[in-house]
Amino acid sequence: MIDSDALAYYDALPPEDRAALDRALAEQPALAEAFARWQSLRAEVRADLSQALPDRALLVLYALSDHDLLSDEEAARLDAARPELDEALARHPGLAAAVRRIQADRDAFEAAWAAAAADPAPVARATLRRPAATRPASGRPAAPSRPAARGSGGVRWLSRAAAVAAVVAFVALLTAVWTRDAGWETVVAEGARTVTFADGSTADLSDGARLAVPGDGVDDARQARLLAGRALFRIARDPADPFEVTTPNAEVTVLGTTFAVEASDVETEVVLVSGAVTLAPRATPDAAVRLAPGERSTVLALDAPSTPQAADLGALDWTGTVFARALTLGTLAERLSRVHGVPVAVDAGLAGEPVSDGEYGADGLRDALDKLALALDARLAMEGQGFRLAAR
Amino acid sequence: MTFDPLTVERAQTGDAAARDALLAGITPVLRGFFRNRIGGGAEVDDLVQNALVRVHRGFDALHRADRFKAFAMKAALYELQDFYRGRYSTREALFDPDLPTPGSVDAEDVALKVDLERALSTLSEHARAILEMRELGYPYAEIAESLDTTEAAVKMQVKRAFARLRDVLTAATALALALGAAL
Repeated sequence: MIDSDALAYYDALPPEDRAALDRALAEQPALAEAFARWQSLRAEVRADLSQALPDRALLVLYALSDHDLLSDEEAARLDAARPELDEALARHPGLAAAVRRIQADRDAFEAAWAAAAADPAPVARATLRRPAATRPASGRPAAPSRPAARGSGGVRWLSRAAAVAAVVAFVALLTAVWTRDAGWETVVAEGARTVTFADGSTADLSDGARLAVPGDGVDDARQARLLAGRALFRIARDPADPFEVTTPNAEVTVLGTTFAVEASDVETEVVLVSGAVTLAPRATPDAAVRLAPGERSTVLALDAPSTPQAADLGALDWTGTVFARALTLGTLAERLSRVHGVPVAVDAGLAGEPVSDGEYGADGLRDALDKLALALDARLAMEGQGFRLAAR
Repeated sequence: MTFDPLTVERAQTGDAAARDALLAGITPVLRGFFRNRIGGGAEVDDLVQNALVRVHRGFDALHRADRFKAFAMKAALYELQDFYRGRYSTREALFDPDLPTPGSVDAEDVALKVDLERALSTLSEHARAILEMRELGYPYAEIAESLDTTEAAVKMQVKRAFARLRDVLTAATALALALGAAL
């Protein structure tokens, strides 16, 4: 069942959800008109922002102005534009938020600078594939020609050596037990554990789960073997290099997604939370099925995967995160309460409010409730040993 | 990390070795920075090389050699803003008039024009900030990070804004029809 209000962020939806909404738009003229007006509103917001801030570079200068980072010319340019900028920032909360974001970018740059200083990578010569520029008559070096568009790798004149250096092994395997297996490392979770892969993908393991991951000597780092137990994978998206999870009897091919796997020697069950995966018996990869978000499928022994069917995402509550799909606030609060063992009450007038599909509680109960209150214009109050989400 | 201002000055006067040393020195900084801000992916390579081109082309404008770090930082921040403005292929397909989606329009489409002030006045400042950041090109995940909330909560706000706008427009249409009938 497609949620027509998801049209609000149509441009951020995966292709399959867009296709479903396209069908709904074709069948429902009133919905199509509402969407067109929404797009019109967005276009007007864009035009309004462009009028208020014709030169976006000024926003960067404004964000940096308190830290002695501007040249005299930049400071003068900013001063000249400051009255209009102040007015624009007062009128547009998004611009003010963007300034804060740029200041966070500044801090991230400082951190990257400090990290490079602490660990200088041997890239000095590797970055210089292009011939050095010749000195023109002006006394200035000739500018390198403009790099070609993305995808034409031959003109990527900056080496990928740094990327190679960035391929670190694994982190966050704090108390896991490792054993070697032909270039693979096996982690056995003693209690809940998170494994982080070199590309940023993660696997949350349940107690007793056994996961083999490629070691330094294995070329393809985007793969893992779940030998037994339950794991929740969050895979960094890379369409050009699908991630592959294998179990004793099945294989799951992933583009970039969140999904759970439970494996034994003879049975594998996959529950897809978001994105897209295919599931196939290892013995017969051609028998693969493709799962949609919210679906589950099982491979028993060497059989073909079962027909995908709606999954109970509540079965993933063991992860400590509630995965919501078409839930009301009341139901979500019940599940959060159960997962965290803390009472959470909701005013009757709010209990039926739909909440967005997504993950809740990964950063703790209080964090989830704060964000729900903010999103629903509700008030979060302490009540006994627990919380209450109340109407304002 | 520190750079010898003399090296910067030599780069400014056409010393290719000095220039190469500077660019090579900041390459890992830029890579680490862009990976931190947008994650992995092919765009990082493009952002790094284009930021380096900015630095290279901007040597003329660098009047104080001891400010090279701030100079490189601004090149990186400008490049990141260009990324958000859609100059690069983004992880999310941001709305763009050149990439029509169903119902896509531009601000001059009078037939669909909405009363911007009235529509926005129905929204909270938080919701307006989300809408505006999106139109500045930020992905929802980064909007959520900026506003210290979750992507799901941000999308929920956007859905509610959409629903409220539908209500406002429905009410306006009903009023117009009623006025038309009365006349």
